[in-house]
Amino acid sequence: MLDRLFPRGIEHYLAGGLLIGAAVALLFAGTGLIGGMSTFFSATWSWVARAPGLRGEALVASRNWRLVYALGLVAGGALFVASDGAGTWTEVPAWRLLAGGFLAGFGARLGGGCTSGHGICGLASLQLPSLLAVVTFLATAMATARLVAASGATP
Amino acid sequence: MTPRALLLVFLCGALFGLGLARSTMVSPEVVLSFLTGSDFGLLLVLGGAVVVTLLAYQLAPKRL
Repeated sequence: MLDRLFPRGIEHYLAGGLLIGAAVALLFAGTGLIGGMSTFFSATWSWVARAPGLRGEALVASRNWRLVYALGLVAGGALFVASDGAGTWTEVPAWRLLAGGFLAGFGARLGGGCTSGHGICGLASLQLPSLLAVVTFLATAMATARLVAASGATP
Repeated sequence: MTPRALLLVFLCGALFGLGLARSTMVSPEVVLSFLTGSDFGLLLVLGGAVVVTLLAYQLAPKRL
């Protein structure tokens, strides 16, 4: 049963999830901050952008720590790749990663949060809108992935 | 924010990145295998993270 649902095993999933949870928990306990990731994109644009939507008070006020948080994310990922790196490789070509990243980034800001903001922080603070966001983006992604796979495309 | 608080923010970000990489959710192939229904590991990652965060949000001392 477990083998069918999790053919790659479960340890690394649980360990990774608990580490992510510990990170968001520690951030809250130590600073009171809510550790969603993708607001970083808008907050960082606030340094140079002129559009009012990218210059909001909340973005400007949080852009320092959000940038530091995102730099930490990259550093932690690099540390893992340098030390172990198991399962972090991809065959997806760079242009597709870039295109997908653009769409994911746009959608995350449009929806007011990503898998960490709505998925972790929102669900953990029992926010109904976040639950709706998570169900919506997971269901849409599942439908899209199956549709694209059925059309014969491969990663 | 004080430099000390920013250092903590950086370390939390690093822990997040470490966990994300360890969970292999940085690989599009792994995420796709969840979306197409062949490996449900993403639910363990999200679920594990939510439970720990939920506990912290409920139990951490309230701040002014």
